[in-house]
Amino acid sequence: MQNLKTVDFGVAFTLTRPAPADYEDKDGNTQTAAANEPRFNYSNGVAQGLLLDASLSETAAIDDVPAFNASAGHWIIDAEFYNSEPLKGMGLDERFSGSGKMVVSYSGGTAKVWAGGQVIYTVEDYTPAEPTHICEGGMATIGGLTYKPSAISDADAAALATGDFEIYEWTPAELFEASQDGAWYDPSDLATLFQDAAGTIPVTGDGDPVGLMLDKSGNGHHASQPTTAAKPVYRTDGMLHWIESDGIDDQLVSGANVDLSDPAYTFYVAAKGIAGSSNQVLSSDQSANRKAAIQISSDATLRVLDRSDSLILLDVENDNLASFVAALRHNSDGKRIRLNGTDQPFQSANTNVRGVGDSIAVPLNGAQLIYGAVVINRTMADQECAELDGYLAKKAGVTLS
Amino acid sequence: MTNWARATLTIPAEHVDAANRLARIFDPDTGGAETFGVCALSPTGEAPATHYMASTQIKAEYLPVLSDPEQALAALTALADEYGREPPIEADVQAWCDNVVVGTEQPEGLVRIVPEVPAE
Repeated sequence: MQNLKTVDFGVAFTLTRPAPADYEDKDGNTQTAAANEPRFNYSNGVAQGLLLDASLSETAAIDDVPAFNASAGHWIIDAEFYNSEPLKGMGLDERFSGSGKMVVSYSGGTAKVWAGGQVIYTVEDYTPAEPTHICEGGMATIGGLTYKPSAISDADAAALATGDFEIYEWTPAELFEASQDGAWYDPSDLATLFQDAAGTIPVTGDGDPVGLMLDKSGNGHHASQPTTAAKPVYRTDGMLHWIESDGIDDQLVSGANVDLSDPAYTFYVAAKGIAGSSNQVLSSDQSANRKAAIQISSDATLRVLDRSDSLILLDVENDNLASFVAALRHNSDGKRIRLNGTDQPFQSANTNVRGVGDSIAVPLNGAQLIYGAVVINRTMADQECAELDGYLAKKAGVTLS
Repeated sequence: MTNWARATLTIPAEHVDAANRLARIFDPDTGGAETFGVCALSPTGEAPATHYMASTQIKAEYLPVLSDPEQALAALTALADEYGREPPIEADVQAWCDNVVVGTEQPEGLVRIVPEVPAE
């Protein structure tokens, strides 16, 4: 247990970290903290606070909240968060990014998160609970953490909450931060859709043809179609947004090839079939020899294929043609398939099928509704898959299993 | 938003070149010459193709003129001028109007020829 007397913590916690890790001391020297030893970092001689990095499996379990009040109370947090959930276990269930002073108050069945002098997040029907950890996930630097077992007025909370925080929303852009090649298509972002292949006429509403869908990965693999008869259509019901293809000749193809020469790659798509139609939703090539594909068949099955070796890697009933989030992850050890957030067993005994092995154009085609797609030339970690599952599930209105 | 309508256009195989020459004019984008050829049809679903079909978004105001040679020639000539493209050949327009089937579904009696792909 680390009972912190030297910094402004009002609670005691137990830090765990399986391995040593570095931090900067007040003289600007790099020090190494032993396993399970907290790191109190400085920057240019200025104390920043306790470092917590989820990528190092670093956790800070709260030992006890003194005089916890199950009716009303408030927390004052001086911290910097990046994709981290403060006070894990108390029921906020939301991650934040930002820095400064945050106030978390609860009373009368409502919990509020305050920052910038205002409420930035509210939990209705809130049941007070003691947090189990200072925070969870992402990265955090905790400069101070104080709990007071009493209600706080809105005016006082607003005055105390001077920090700048916002709810963290993961996007697939994070997959490409290390400059991996790949593509990310997002039909819900109208700024990325154009009626013409040259990108001069924006898509503005339901029913417009889509001649160009920009790649949001930053790699420039924009998917286009210069023939109007072969353009899919942008559709929306006001909540969801999708690209709808007719199953006859519609297809968007990435103009510049995606480099999938690395044997590891990941295909991800959120889509929905159309009754009686069959085609690839997302595939690694335009030719019949495409090596990897996610397909909806006319018999209402969802398939993940390795076409070169004539293998069906996944073949599941989708009788009601429900929306889905499907993925194919490949690395040197073989392939893994996910459907609606869960890894799936292989249909084929041979899971060690070959990778794409070259640069290819990525077609989005068939008689489907496509809510989003990601292709990247590396295998994705489990946590990344969980994030992308959730992101695409929201886009497609899918409930993950 | 432009007033777009969805239509299927089916043309006998012997007129596919003429149809693509006209599609190059009326397609507001640059790929009109590739309009017919992807979706091949025949009475049995086996090659050779007897017809080609395109399923396209089309500006609604052009639907009534698709099968009237006089209106089609005038509209295509105007579009060619607007887009800076070669004007239509009258014989192509006549062949188009005499043979195109405009609808919203695949014509009855014709089956799509599905290209052979590796076994699944």
